[in-house]
Amino acid sequence: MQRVVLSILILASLAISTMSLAQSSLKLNGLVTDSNGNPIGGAHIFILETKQGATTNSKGQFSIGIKQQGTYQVNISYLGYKCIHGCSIEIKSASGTRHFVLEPENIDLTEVTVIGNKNNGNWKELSAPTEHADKNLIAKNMGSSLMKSIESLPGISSMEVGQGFSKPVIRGLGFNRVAVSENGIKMEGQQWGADHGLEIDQFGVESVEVIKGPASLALGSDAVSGAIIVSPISIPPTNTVETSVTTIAKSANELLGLSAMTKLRATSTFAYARFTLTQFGDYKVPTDSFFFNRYRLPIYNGRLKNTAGTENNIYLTSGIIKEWGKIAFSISNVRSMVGFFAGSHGIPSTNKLLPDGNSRNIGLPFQEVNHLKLSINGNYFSRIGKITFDIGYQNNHREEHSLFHTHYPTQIAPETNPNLELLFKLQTLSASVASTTQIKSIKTNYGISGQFQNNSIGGYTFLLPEFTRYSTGAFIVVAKDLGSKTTINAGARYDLGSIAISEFISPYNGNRRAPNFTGFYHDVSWGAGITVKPNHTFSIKANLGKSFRMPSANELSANGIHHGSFRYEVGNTSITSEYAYQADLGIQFTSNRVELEVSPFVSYFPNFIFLNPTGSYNHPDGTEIAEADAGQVYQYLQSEALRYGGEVNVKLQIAKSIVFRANAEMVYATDFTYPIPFTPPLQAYAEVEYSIPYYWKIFHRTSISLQGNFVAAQHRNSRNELATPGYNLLSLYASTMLITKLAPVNISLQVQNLFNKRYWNHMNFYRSIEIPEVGRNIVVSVSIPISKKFGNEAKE
Amino acid sequence: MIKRFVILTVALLATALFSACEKDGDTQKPTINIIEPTDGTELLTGEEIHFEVEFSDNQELKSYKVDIHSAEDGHSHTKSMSTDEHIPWAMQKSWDFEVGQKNAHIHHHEIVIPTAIDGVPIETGHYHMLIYCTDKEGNESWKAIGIAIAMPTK
Repeated sequence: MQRVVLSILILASLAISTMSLAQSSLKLNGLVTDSNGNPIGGAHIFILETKQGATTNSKGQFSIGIKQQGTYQVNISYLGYKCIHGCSIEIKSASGTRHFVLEPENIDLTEVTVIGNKNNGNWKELSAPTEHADKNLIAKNMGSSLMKSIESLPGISSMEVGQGFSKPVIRGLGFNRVAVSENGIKMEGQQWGADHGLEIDQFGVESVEVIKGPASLALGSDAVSGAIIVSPISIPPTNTVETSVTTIAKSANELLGLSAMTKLRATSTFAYARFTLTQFGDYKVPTDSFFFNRYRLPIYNGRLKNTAGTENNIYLTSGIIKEWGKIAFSISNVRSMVGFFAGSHGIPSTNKLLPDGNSRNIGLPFQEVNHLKLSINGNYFSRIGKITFDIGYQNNHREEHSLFHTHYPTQIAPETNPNLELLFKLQTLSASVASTTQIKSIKTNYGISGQFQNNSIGGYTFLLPEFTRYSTGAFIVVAKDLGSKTTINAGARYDLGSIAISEFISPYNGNRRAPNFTGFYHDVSWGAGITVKPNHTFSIKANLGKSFRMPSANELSANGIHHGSFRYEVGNTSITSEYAYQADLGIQFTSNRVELEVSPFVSYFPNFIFLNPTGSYNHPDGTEIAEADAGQVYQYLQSEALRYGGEVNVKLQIAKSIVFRANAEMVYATDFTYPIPFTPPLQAYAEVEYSIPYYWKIFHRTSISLQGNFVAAQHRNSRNELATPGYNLLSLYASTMLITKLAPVNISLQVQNLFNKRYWNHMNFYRSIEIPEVGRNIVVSVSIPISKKFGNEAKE
Repeated sequence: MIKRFVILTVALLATALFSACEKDGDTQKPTINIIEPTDGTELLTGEEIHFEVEFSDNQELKSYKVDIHSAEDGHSHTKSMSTDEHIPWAMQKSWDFEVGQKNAHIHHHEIVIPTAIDGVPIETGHYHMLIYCTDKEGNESWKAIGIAIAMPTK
């Protein structure tokens, strides 16, 4: 009997143990890392269905036993990173290691955008149409500048002068109609200038949010067409030092670049430093000549003479982070020196285009830009919300150098800096305070901001006068959840500003180039939106809003040749603030395999500011213009304008490791008589990506993709604007992470314009002198991120 | 209210699509036909330029401009204008057409090449002559020719 009982017990225990063995053989094994592949220890994993939890070890690994096969919802969270919510995991018999990548949370971002950050897990998506780019997307599309790198996003494009500078364009509008903010401070450079690029080090960008549509409520004047918001750097976990060295080489302009950064955090103090240096030679274009006004002019050695340049940037931040909030002090300096194509200043001639034997030198004409920025950013968490403040000082120093020339017989070259043609020194002091509170289902965001600017000038020619500009504003945005499916938001902003322009008398002929002028502007802008999400797969957003923009100094008082745009431009002091009314929709469908988004928009400007060709060679006040190479006078005027269009965005998970992404965008823009110049043509982007997200031998997160750009011809042209033929481009991208004993090594290879196609970009100012875009460009990038724990935690 | 909001937005979008009528803007450029001086003509200092050019436009001509400057030193304009014994000559002048004119045959001798500026003789050699023309809507075309300026032999 005892034997029987014993054997039953043994059998039972065997059965139980085999059962438990069978149970525990089903496991969810995972690895949690940041986007650089550095393991995150101490991250929390939670399975919603079984209510099981686990914490990762110092290598970022975890393991949870699962009783049944099936699909589970998993949440993963770690302080300082965005949570992964409800990630569906299918668990079958022998599961391998799942890799989860946590993206850094941008604590400050939501406060800056106000309208909403779709990646913020705490808040239901708000209604403004947004696009998001992280450093992976930037690395994958690495162009000559941040804007070139993110222009594959639907609705985003860039306006260029040659290859050196690219300006942000959102839904076909750029210049002063797109606000750019970095680290909580609105960037103030020479946005009005065609040859002004963004003074942002793209290697240091971790995350970019693009708001399409009027974002004036949060950012004040200028964000009429949208805003580009570069997030502050993420703060590493406690007792961690992160370093990363990136090198890059490009074939099209023989670019070599190096960027090194280090981030350090003890318990509550952190510091960050980044240094970037790039040098490039003259750009290669797939042509040996270009047409200019019936003349064929040569391009020697297939290179655009004098388009070489250098860029060197420094970024330093340090601060404290506590439970009550954060305070950080940052200093950055972005400096670039880029040559202008020798044929682009004045009328091109053969002599100017002869090679000088050096493809890496920067000769005349060239421009030098130095952007210094100091900022103090902080936030304070209270029981019901958060208070954010940002104080910034910026000094944008831009010099344009061109061999001294004049047509005033009495003008003699200045003794110092004889070739300094134009100098603009814009200093901006800005401050803003905003508060976010949440009481029950009502979230309120309100704040005030102020800005003071001073512009001083120099150089032997004149384009824009000296001025001082004040502006201040206050805003409030309220969002409310109506049940679980609907959120509504509405807001208003009031702005008050003034600009005082100083008279400028030409020292050479006594002509008054700019009169004394003081203008006052005040405006109310408003917006309202709704997001309805009837179920998990479908959502619809709608927005209506009015935004405004104070006229800028060049629109009021420019008077000179703007070399970047090849035009003689004259301001108009009778210009008033520009308004835009915009309506947009966003319809989104999301399932496991398919994501589809359609976002149409329409905007109406009762008094759109534009440059009108006057047909006259004299200043509108009757003065004769005596400058070399000056064509007819373009003067700023206002007229009605209508713009509409939209984007379609598709993502298909064709197979487990194959993704197809595509988007198409179009803009129709008219002032009811002529099309609006520099409107991007209808275009589409498609990409097929094959990826192995997990380990394969020593390779990790390997992916290969083929990308196509399909651009239609632009035949809707304004006066003196050339029609641009359509083109198709193919590009290849491959990247992997090599796991070595010392550190992971990220390697990526891109071949842009695979077939070395000759094409023209409608959005390039060099289009008008018929210079094609860059040919085949091979870009190789290697980056080594190292993350180390120190102090007590390292001993665990 | 929410429905109304969405309907309003959709209605606005739809209205835009159907109401975007654009008047026929004129983007056709005027044409320039230079009869005199011809490309490469040699002209003498102290003499008038025989200027004979035909302009025409599909709608209405507005203005034309003549720009003459030295093309020595590879068109980059000399560094300092008045250092040595010669000074490069430059002239810019514009004229308006009569209102309503579609075709114009311009013939004049208003441009005079100086012998000296402030007592300094002008630089001789290769010069560029640019002729610009606009129509009433601001469409612009231009043509460039090269001329040689020489001292008259005594």
